[in-house]
Amino acid sequence: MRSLLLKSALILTVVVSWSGVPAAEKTNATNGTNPTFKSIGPLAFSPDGVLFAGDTQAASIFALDLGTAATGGAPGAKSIPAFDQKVAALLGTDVREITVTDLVVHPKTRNAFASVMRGQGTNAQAALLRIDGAGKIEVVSFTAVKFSKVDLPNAPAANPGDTRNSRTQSITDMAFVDGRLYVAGLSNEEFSSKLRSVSYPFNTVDGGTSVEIYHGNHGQFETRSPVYTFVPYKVKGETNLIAGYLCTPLVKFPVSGLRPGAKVMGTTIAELGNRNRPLDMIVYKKDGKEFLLMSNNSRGVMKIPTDGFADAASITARVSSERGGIGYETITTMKGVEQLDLLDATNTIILARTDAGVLNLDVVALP
Amino acid sequence: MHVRKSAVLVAALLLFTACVGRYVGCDAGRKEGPARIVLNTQTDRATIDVVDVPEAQLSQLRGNNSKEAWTQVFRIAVAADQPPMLGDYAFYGRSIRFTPMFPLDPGRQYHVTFVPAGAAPITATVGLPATHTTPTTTVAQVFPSGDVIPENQLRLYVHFSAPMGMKGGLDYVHLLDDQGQEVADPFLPLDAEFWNDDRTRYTVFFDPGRQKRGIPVIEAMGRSLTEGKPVTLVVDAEWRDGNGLPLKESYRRTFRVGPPDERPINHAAWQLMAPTAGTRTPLAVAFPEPLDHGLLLRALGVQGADGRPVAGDITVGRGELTWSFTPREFWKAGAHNIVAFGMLEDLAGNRIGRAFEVDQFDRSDRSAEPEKTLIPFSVR
Repeated sequence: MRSLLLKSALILTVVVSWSGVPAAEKTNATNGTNPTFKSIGPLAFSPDGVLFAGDTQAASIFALDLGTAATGGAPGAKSIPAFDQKVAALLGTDVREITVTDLVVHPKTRNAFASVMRGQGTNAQAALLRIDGAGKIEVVSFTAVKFSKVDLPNAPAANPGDTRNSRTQSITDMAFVDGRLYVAGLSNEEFSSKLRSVSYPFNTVDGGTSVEIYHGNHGQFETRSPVYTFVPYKVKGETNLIAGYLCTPLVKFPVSGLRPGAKVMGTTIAELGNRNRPLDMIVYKKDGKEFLLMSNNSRGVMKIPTDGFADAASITARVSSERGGIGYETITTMKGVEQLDLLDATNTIILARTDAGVLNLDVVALP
Repeated sequence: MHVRKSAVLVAALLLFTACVGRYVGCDAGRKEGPARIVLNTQTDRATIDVVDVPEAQLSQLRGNNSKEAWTQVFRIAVAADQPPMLGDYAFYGRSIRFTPMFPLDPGRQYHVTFVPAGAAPITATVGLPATHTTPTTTVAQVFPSGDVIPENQLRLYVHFSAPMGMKGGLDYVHLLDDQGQEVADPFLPLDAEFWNDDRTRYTVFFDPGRQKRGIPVIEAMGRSLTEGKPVTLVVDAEWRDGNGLPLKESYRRTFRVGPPDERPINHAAWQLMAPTAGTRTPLAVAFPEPLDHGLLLRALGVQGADGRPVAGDITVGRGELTWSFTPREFWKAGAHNIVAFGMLEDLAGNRIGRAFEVDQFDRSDRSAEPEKTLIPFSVR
């Protein structure tokens, strides 16, 4: 048992559970026009331009058909200094009332879309912004936007008569892969993360794929660590999710394994350092080689070559130093990066905060 | 005569009120100009209007067909040097109305400029009065409510007397050691919303990576909690509530730190006081160690002999050492069970039959159905 503990402490275990799904684990999709958000957070586009937007407060996911809101702007996106200040002015408030929660690029127009919360109080409102190639910021009017919505099922309470169930879930990241949307989330009462998948078009969240992930990057000690950000990536032709966890193991696991009743072993391919939270990641190609670009809250932007992902040995022993497995290069020219997405073949678009606290939208050549 | 004077006065007052508040349509009888900028609060969403615009200027402006053109003439901004706000422009009689895309912030001043062609610009500063000015929200309670926490305490719940704002709380929550020095990074840096639905309870997770024993890096940093050394939780008054106001006062509470708890919850040691059939006397349970307050409200319940859940009301006692369940209906005689869902935890995250820091690999293939432990009792 002890030897098993030692091994498994350093292996992420992904559990896929579909059987015996209780009623509370099922929710139905709803459709309509003019979506209403309690809060707007993570964004993800499908290849044909459906925008998935996570409502972190309501633990819901909207699929938005942007219609004409997706077209009409100059193609591409342009840098905007003091982006948060400008957004605050457009929305008629102070910059301290603005929180930019995500940034993604439309797969066809290459316009950037940013999710924003206006206000910090109980009357805070959600906004979706489009930034075009001329640097023009437009607020997407939801009035004519068609949507489909699913709620992440909340865990049931043992006492059905008690209305004080204070458990909530939040959504930390989303990615659309081969017709399914993968959603990482956290609960306010359980120290563990869930990775669910929902097929699109939405119908019923049939319990999703309920995934618990454990990892141990501290030798024999096991820690239930929250997944923070992930990106789909093909390893030897097979679609994997490359996931960044708190403190900061990098893990791969094949999407094909996320099926009813299956058990998937996640492979830790790198330990990227303690006291760190990954924020966002993209995959890009440069000079014929592919790289993972990952922003972090305390360790800057990491450029990680992906050519070792296929054959990287799983880390199965205590990493004596802070780093282990696949190495990385810190991109010192990219500082304060909070959000990033691939803009085109040669550029990334980032939201980066200066030491003075100003949030800039920058188009930066891929490193 | 007196009556007629009063009637005329009332009619004039009504007309004045209507035209100030709802001047739309009331300006037909007014003399032209000069144009004035006014804040209109009589619509569902406050608007900023230019009223009494001379007909010649209106005629010129009716050709405006883009918002860019409008902002050259009628500009509303949060500051004179900032870009114009987004909103809709419309004509109402001899008025031009700007309806902001988002409601005006109470207490904020907006800079307005009206620059008709061939006329002198008109400027004004308008704003809604602040609706809340006096801080009233306080930290109402922090769980665990007991005085002692284990060295590997997993989470804290901070309850507020009113809904809080959107900003997360880690910037405002601190831990001081027994020397009054701030403990470095004791909490998980999770940039997620750990509020309950009405934003009155915030969950703070300790970083388990700062609580391990035998990890050189952690030993060098020092553990966030150390047995025998008290710590003080501080919640800053600067934390903003749902009205954007700071807390009425900061909050401080000192905990004693006990040894780490690395053992699973032992439900066999729970003491049950079974109720009597035909009454609504509470089922009372006493625990040998404090359990997690949030999970006691959610992960413990009762089921009857038929296996169905019994609806009731839960009370968690002082120190989270007791739990009682009052059924909505009278107890029926027979076998019952306390149902403990698998997520029930003690203060250190230990669960029934499973400590927080153990291998879970061999237990990983679980179904989505919550694991349950049934603890039988009889109602006689």
